[in-house]
Amino acid sequence: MQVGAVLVLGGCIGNDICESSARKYFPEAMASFFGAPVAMLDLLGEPILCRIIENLRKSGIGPIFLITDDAFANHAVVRDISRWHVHVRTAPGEALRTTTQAALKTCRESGARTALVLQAAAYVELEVAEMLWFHRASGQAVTFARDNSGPLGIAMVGNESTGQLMLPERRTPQSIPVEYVHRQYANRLSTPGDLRRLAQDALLQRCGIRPNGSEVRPGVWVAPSARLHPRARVVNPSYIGAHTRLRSGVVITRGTNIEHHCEVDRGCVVENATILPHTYLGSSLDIAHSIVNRNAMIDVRRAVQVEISDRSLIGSTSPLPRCAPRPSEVRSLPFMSHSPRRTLRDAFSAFLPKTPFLSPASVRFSYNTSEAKPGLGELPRAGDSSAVRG
Amino acid sequence: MNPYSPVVVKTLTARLDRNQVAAFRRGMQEVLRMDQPRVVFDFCSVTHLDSAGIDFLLNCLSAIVRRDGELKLAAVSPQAATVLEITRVGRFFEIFPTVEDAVRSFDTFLPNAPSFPEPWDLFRAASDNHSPSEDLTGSAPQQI
Repeated sequence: MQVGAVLVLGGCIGNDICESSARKYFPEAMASFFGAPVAMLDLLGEPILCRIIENLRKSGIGPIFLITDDAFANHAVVRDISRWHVHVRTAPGEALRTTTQAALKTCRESGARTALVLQAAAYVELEVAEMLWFHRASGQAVTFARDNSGPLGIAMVGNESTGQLMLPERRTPQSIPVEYVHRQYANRLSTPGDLRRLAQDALLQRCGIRPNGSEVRPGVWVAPSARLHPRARVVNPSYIGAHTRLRSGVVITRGTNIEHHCEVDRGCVVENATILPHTYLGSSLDIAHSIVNRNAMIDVRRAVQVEISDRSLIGSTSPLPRCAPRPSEVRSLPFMSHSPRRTLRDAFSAFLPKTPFLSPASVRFSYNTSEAKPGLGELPRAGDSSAVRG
Repeated sequence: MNPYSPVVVKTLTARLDRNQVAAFRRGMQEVLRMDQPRVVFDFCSVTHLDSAGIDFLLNCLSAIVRRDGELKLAAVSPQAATVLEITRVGRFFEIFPTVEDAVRSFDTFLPNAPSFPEPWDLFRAASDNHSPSEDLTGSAPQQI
């Protein structure tokens, strides 16, 4: 049986529902970190929204519609979502309900007899087959999903007798029929702590999310294009994203995920933190229990967001130019964006010999590996030419 | 007579950045010339702290410690506390929830330590409880 899905990103599905019931059955306030819904944030190499769509695809659901607020229509994640074969519809905040209803109608025309309506505000690993069986057995037009902590913002709509897909009408909490109780993994992503918990659960394989990268050591995932200094230390469980650079003396530990195109400068310690894409962490910082996005940072323990304009502490690795650079600036831009000292050192190193100069008095020792190495008392003295080879 | 210099409380501005630090540094010159300066920085209104502000704090701490003084922070906002924590500078300072607590802490030997009586107070209390005549006559030896 074909099952469609409508993902709603932004606002609440039932705007006409009174506030108390809306909060109960469709949490009205979507969590928004750094000015975007939390579902648009990257987690272990992929936006959470793509993870949700991937789960729906694995469950055999199609077609999938994404109804998004106009404010997020130009967001990179929404623009990139087409590769998942998702039909994207944008609407102003007050028209989300009518647009959702239109999408359900299109679902019905494409042959779907049942559809899921989900608020893309939580990460839920839904057992679609089980919920579908429950929905059909109960004979209801709408079945809401909930878990032990409350409603999940998921509804299954579709009536076998009428064959219509309709959004739930205005109703009181008392009139809500039997709800499907979800027993698998669910994370509401309503607080920054929830986002951290999801990252840690994924790294510890407590949920179905798998990091995008190769597991170089047990519990340590590194994307192929990441650059790690030999003296950088990555302790499991951790994730290093694509094109991320870890400099010397960096320590990454305790469930930290560093997304793509980040740079962690020398001596920085990152512990139990999420570093979102294109973020620069300055030298010798101690980042713990935080979510960092470019120059903004959420301290999970204090529940406070701090904006730091000082580029030497935290900032962005990809400054967006206010205007297009002039032709004369184009050639100097790569040199100026990096440390001039390091650039000069790298340039001169090409002209210097790979081995250090040896003074005439210096003596090099080499031993045949097949022979047993001499003890300390047997080491040759500098003047003993018979022991010198080469 | 209190042998120590008075406690100076300095209230910082909302933005402790490169622009504000220069003016604040000038205002601190007089305090830094005192002998054994005891200074409290009131952070209640500081919401923005950058590397120049951190540098200023460390310079002040260095100058004050060199003169055998103390510098304490009070009423640190969550934003400033976060910056102090990530830069690992917070561990160099004693941080108190209020200015009153910070000022009071200068009169105690250890923070949160109970106030122990001075030796001469103990002697005075002992002399009040026992009359000198008893000490002179001596009491009966106690069996142990």
